[in-house]
Amino acid sequence: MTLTEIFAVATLASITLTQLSVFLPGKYRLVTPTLFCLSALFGMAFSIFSLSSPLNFVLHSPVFLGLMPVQFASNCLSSAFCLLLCLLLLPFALFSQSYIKTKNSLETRFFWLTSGLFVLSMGSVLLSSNAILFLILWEVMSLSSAALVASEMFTRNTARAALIYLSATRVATALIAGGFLAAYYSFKSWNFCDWHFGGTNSLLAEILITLGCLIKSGIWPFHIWLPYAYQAAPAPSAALMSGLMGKVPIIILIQFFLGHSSHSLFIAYILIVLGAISTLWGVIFSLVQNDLKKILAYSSVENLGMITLTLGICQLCKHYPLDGVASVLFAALLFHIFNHAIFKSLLFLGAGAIYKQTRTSNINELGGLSRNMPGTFLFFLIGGAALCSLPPLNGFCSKWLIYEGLFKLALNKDITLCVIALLVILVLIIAGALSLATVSKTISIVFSGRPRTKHSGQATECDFAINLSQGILAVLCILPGLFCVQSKYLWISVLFAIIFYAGFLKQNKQRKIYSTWECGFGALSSRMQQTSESFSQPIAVFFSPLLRYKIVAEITGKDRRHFPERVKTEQSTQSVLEAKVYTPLVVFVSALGRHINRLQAGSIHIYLSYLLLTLITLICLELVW
Amino acid sequence: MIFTLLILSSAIMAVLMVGTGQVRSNIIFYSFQTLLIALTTCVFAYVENEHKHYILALVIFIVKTMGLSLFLLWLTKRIGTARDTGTFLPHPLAMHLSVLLLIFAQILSCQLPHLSKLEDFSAGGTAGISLILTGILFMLTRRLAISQVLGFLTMENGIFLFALTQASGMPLFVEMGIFLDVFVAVMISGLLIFRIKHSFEHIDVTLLTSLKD
Amino acid sequence: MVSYIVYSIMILILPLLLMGFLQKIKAKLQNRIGAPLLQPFFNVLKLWNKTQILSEDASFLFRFGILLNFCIATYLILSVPWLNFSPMIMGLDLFLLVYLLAAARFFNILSALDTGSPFGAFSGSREAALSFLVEPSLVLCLLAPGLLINSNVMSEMFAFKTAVNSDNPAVWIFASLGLFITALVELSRMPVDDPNTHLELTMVHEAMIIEASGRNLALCEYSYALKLTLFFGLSVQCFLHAVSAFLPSNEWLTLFFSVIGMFFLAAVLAMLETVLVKLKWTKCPDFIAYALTMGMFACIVALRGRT
Repeated sequence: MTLTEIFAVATLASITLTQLSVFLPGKYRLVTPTLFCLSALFGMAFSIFSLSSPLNFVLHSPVFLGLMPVQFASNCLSSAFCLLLCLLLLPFALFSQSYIKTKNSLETRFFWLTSGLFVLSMGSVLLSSNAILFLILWEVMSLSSAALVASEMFTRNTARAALIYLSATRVATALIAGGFLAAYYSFKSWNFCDWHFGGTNSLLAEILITLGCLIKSGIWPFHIWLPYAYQAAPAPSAALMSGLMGKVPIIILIQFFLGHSSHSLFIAYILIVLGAISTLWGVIFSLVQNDLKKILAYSSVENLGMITLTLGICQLCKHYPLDGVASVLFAALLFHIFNHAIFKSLLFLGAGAIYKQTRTSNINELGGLSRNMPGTFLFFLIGGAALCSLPPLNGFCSKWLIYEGLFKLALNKDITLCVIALLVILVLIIAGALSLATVSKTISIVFSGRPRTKHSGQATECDFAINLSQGILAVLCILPGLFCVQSKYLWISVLFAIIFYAGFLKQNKQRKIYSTWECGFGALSSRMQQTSESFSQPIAVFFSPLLRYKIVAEITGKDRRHFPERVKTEQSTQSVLEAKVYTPLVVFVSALGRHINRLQAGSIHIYLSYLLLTLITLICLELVW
Repeated sequence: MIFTLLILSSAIMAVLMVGTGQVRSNIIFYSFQTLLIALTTCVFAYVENEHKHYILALVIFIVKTMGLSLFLLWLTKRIGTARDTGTFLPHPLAMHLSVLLLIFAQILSCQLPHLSKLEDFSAGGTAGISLILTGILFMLTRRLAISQVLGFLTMENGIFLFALTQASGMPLFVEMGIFLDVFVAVMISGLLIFRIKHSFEHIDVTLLTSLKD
Repeated sequence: MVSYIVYSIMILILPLLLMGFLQKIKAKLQNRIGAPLLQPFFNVLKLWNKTQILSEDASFLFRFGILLNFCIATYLILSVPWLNFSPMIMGLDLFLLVYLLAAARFFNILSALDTGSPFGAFSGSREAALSFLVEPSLVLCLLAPGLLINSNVMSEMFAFKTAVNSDNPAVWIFASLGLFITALVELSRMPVDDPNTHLELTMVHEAMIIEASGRNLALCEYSYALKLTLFFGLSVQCFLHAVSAFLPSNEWLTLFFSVIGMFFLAAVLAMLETVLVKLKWTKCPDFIAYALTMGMFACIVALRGRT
């Protein structure tokens, strides 16, 4: 037995123990998170060892899945992903034990059970080496994550979100299963190592698998479920879902399509186009949201779009043999997956901390939290700066690599490739500028100025475990930036700013504290501060056809123009996709369902007539052939 | 090289014209565009050593660069319309779209056969096609009747440039006839615009759909 | 060694001198005598010693943002080749430049909104909208020379080492024009924003620093001057590359032309601000679109030269 297998067994055992420890009485409630951390450490050891000696494990009878045995195999990619997973589990466990503490015990147990199952299935789905096992684990992952979405069902109305999410995962699973069937017919094997995509005979399988994966990771136009699910899920599970689960389909796409010699151009173009659209779409919609978790959810759409886009370009480069560019982009892709998982989890944990202390995640009800929750403020600031990829944080490092690869592509002789590269650079730059607006809006509305409601005014800093979990992630955000060559001087200048700042603090004599300038109008109230809607208005106007953006102003008073008595404005946004495509689709399907329902009239004679009709049709068909 | 520079600058002037809603600026951009075309014709005459093209250049300068532009400027001042609000596509986006059309024209003209004796034949084709497309785009995205006239004139410039560079120009009499036609057409449409303004109080062509019955 | 010394002197003197020159020319054009040429130096010195008034609602981010903004501007002025000498910190590439400018803007917006002042917040949201319009054009204008030289490192792009090809001057000219328009927007100058008014309906930059006073304001003013120098310098360098065939190869003469060019641009700006009126806010995108068009032209010509 190798070290890899020993640690795999240890991880499995400790996860099982974690699941069992959920049923311990309430006074042992710290046992479960501790065991969770322990299994994360075992998992880390497992993935590190499996990098050098890959896992290859077949479980023979009596456990047999009908067509194939239970069979696991690891490669570098899946090991690295497992490492990332286990790395994120530590802050997750730390955060959750404090976040879930206040809830009733049934909910707590349900949370830990489902999240254990979720994590286990997410880790093993990438290790499975045949299609049957993969589908089973994939289903477990989907169902457990749906259960996580619904886990606050006793306190909040999350049923609709869970239903939308479940239906999306259903469609995704169906597509992937169809794709696997098609692949089986092309390659005559259920084993992943026999599948060599890229030829002409497997195009159907490729398209089905790609679509299924894109639905699961929430790429435009299949991103509809994502904001609902992430808003409803408790913050730590939303962190795991956005940080990791969204990446699993991408990793699968990489494993299926990128490793082989021939590459289908069609899939590459699908990935590029959908990725580019969802990059822009996600960031535009994240700008106009008012709910902290929805902002983060839409920005996940943006980042996953960026990852998909990079994957598509990588595949394009492999098709024209441009291996140098492809390898730069591939590195950038993996690095961005890693970085996005880190900073998005950090931001979701921050949103969770804010929700825990103020019981609201509507940013228009927050404000002034920088004084009450300084730790969360600092970490959220770091996470936000990483999200809009400001140098020298980790988000910039990976985005810079993407730009570098695209620039190399633009230096190519082929004009088409140049134009594609330039357009993609433009898309990324616009998305970057918009995400900067989003993040600066979020941070300043939530943390700056004065509290807008009593809740946020009375909020206190959360406990040490929550801050520690955010701190770990914040350090992980800063670390990659430290090792970039170029950022050496940048860090010096940041350091310079901090020293300068400290030097300024000494001269208290030359400072006066006074109220904010109010134009001589009288004291400012917290209601006079900017709201989320007013910040995003100048940009939202540009995209009003996409957002179906409307401002309704109602001004009353005798002299409405000069001396209005009451001014009431309301803004509304709605996704054009949801309004024009999905709602009619749902209405159509349910109408169709009603009509089909008529067939099932409950009368035995009608069923007998169906039988007769079917028989006659079959006989006729037989005769014709 | 100077030939390419001049000829592409005229296409660029047309692109820049699409970007603004000010009718006055549009006309000024148009007159620069025709000035560049007149200069191109001069250079062409020098290179090909054909003296009739000098006359052509002079006529372009007098009729189009000075005459039509000044007439249109006077017309805008007279009917008092300063700004075209545009139809479905905002002006900046229309400008970026016409840059893309320029790329398209470049790709198209690379596939044209060599006809001219000039080395750098593709630039003329590029500019000609791009002027035609930009003119159509300009007419599509504008609301005012006077802008429709400008778009039409741009298209006419494109056809002239294309004929000049790809087929060494048409006979002098044909060109002169076309100039006369264009001149008369603009005069008549100016008169019509004036009448339309007089009877409808506006020159918005999108509102003229109510006349279809 | 000598060039390093000259470069340092330029960094110290030129930014504020350009500001003073700009104001002087503007005053002359408007038939005023105007403040002395060195007034910005006096202003900064005076502000540095004044008491700073801080809002009671401000957090540490307010002053830290201003400081970080200043540090980023200093870093950029040391690493961008805005004169014909190679900069002191090598290896800055154009994406890092764009994202550093974005970082400066991010902290600008945050410190403007930090006090909860409606003025600062208002201008902060406008600044965000402007940045999303102007960033693509900045990138395209810098990408086009990069495509010519096959490098995206700034000091290699601006090293006067292009082989003179028939199309190259056009690329540099378009890039120069695009950068100038971009500079007008980034520095919130006239057609987009009026730097002289403090009227809430027009201002972008002035309202962002409305809460700053004393040393903070001095830092704001100085980082603004640094950014002005940076953009004007880049624009002039692009123009000098366009005419590099006619330039003498002497380094000092080129330096002379660069400095003259920057003063010329300042004079042009002063003239524009005297002649033009400020655009209505909703018309600004129409103006900024021209910068993007210039960038697109530059890239097209650069790609055309490749085939």
